[in-house]
Amino acid sequence: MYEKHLMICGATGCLSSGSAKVHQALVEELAKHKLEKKCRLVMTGCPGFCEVGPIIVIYPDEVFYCRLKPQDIPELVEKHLLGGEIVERLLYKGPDVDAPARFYDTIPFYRKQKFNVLRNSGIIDPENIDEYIMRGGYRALSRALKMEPMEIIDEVKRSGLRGRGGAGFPTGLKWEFTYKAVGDKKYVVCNADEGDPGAFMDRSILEGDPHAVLEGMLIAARAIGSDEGYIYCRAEYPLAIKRLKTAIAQAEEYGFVGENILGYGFNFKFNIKEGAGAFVCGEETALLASIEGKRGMPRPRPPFPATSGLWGKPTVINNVETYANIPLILREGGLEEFVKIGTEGSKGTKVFALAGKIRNTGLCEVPMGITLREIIFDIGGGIKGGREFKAVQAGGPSGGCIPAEKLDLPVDYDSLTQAGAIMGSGGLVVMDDRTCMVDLARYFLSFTQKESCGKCIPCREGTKRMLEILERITEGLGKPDDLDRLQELASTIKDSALCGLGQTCPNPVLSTIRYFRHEYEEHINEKFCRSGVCKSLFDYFIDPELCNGCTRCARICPVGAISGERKETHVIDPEICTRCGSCVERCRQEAIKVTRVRREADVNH
Amino acid sequence: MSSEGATLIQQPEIDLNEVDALLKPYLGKKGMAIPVLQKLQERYGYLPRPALEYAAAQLKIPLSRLYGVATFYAQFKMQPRGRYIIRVCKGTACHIQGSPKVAERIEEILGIKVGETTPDLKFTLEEVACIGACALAPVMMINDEPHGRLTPDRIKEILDSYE
Amino acid sequence: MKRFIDPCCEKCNHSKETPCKDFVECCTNGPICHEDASCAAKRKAIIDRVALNEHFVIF
Repeated sequence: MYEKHLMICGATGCLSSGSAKVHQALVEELAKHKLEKKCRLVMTGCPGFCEVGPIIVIYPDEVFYCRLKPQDIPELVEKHLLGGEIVERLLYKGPDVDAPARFYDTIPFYRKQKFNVLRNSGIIDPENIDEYIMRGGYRALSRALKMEPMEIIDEVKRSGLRGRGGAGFPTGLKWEFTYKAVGDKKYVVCNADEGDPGAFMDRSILEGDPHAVLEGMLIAARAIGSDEGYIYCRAEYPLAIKRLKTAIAQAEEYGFVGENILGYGFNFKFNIKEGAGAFVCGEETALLASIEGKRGMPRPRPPFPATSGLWGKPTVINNVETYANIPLILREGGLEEFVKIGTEGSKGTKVFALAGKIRNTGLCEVPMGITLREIIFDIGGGIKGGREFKAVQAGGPSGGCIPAEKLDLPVDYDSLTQAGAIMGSGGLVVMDDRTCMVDLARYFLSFTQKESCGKCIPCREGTKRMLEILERITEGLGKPDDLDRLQELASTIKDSALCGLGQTCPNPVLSTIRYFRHEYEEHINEKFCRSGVCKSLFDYFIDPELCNGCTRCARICPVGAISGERKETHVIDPEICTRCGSCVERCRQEAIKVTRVRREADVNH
Repeated sequence: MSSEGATLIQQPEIDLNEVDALLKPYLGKKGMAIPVLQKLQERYGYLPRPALEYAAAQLKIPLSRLYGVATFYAQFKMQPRGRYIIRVCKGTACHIQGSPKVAERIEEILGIKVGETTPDLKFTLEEVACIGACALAPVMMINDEPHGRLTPDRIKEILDSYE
Repeated sequence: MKRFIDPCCEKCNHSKETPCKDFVECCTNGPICHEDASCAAKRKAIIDRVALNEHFVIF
């Protein structure tokens, strides 16, 4: 029997901030004190709060230690594990709490969350199937095996579950179409090609609770009458792939995968396909082409994959988070619980990845219908460095920017679409006053332009033309009719592109023009970028009222553009300055400001 | 879609017997073009032309088709790459927190552009769509090692730490 | 019995080749097919080893 369980986050976020070294230090320290038999050390999935990683949660005490370094470990072991006393120094501290906080009860980041899909992440060892079973795992499968296919589909339909990959199509309906489609062979496919930049929800689910996805797929297979499935996962997610392989091997050993599953005469086998780095493969028909070993290019629909999918056979494709919801709905009494959460048109919860200029970056799961303000300010802790909120980008390259005045919008499929963004897969990137919205639109267009597969002309050529215009504007060469031209191109692409990615790629441009038109106009007419991003459209200057002559900026400047004596006001020479911004980061007085470029030939634009 | 460096680097000889052994487990199954390319790239770090020719013959598909698949996906490279692969994240969170400035500084220091390899085959500079470590933005990976919360002035020191 | 897949006694014959319909139920509430306090205790021991607290196991 273990007295303590030390759950250390072994997901990519914490690994990047050094959790492997912390783990190593713990192994050594536990051995030194001969605590290996009393304390269990587990590398878990993501508990969400990446900002303060590496994280360890000690159970049963439920104490949350964060920002750990290997040198903190001896004290942690000595005081907490041997002495039974909480090490206050390593608890969560922040402007949103009065005193160092312990865990769910007191850390604001967790207070408004509702764990459905992430119910096991950070709590179980993702490489141990027994722990998944203890948490109610494979009960839904056992129950579904006793049901008729249409009964399963009916429960999924009644749950109101909609696809979590972005478009929000009702999952039950998709299953019904595939069930009713005629075919000697049917496939179940999981889309784990999470390509939106700034989104890492699916990776966390796969790393933290892989069996939930397998169980969801098995239930789908039972419902539509399939005996083979594919998981298409980004090759950039090696840990997720490893955990999936382990989970599949264990599920086979336990008799949940393979021949005659649990004695119900139901057979199923899994294949894992690694993606090879093409954003367009997140589109379902492109994904299927890629599984078949071809160039990942979309094809027109209909026929939909439900009738003609992988190798021409009826195929159900859902994303990782959608499948992870299924066991919750199908378990005994699960449907009733599930429909209690959310809004009329959007049931259940949604996992969001919080990133950008937000204080608490990480992963959160919230009930549908919560407002963006609650997510960004209550859970996310507001803007980094106390700066001003400007916009939040939802839905990646297919989504849009939502400005401050829309922050009280409830998060559900329909409200977000109305605001010009989309639910998307769940990436929320927060922007402050130092983010230029024109540059952001240019960034997304350059992304979609590079990733355009080239099959249809509106996307291949249209995004190129839009990008050229945006590049011109950010270089100070914008023309007054550029905005009209952009909107015209955007609406043509929306109407005529072949696939969902092409049709939605103008959204970042359209939504920024809709809400931040003045910034575009400032770039075009006044040749000024007030956010200090577009390099030819601003100068830096040092405010003499604020500068205290500390020389930090002059020492960091890579091109020697800053001059000034110690304790005297410094000056930037705009002719030499490359606008790299190193000095801005360095200055403690916030004395370095963005100003209009002084142009001698500024007479006739 | 993948951009290749302007510097042409001499491709080393490869042993086709080894390619043959690598291909064995994949033959006779459908949809194996991408896994085969991934295996070859894992072994050689890029796709040597003789290996591609041999694989196309073994898979019984035209070389042009296999080449078409290989050039479609960003993962596959046609030129030898450096010992250290620098991948600068160009995800949204990294972009708005300064990853373009980071990439620029690396280009200045190494004297190569994104997609290129230094002539001594030490570093290759690439961009990656998102590695999902947004909490540490801006981020880059050098081989499997992540470096987070980057600022341009930290780059030289990090690069110098690789031998 | 170290893991749920290990048989508690010779009466249990669940494996992937000879599957038992009650296997999942049996893991946490078993044994189902026979009554034996020591077999139940073996399952409980697996749970006690890794359960973090009393809310951990969901029946």
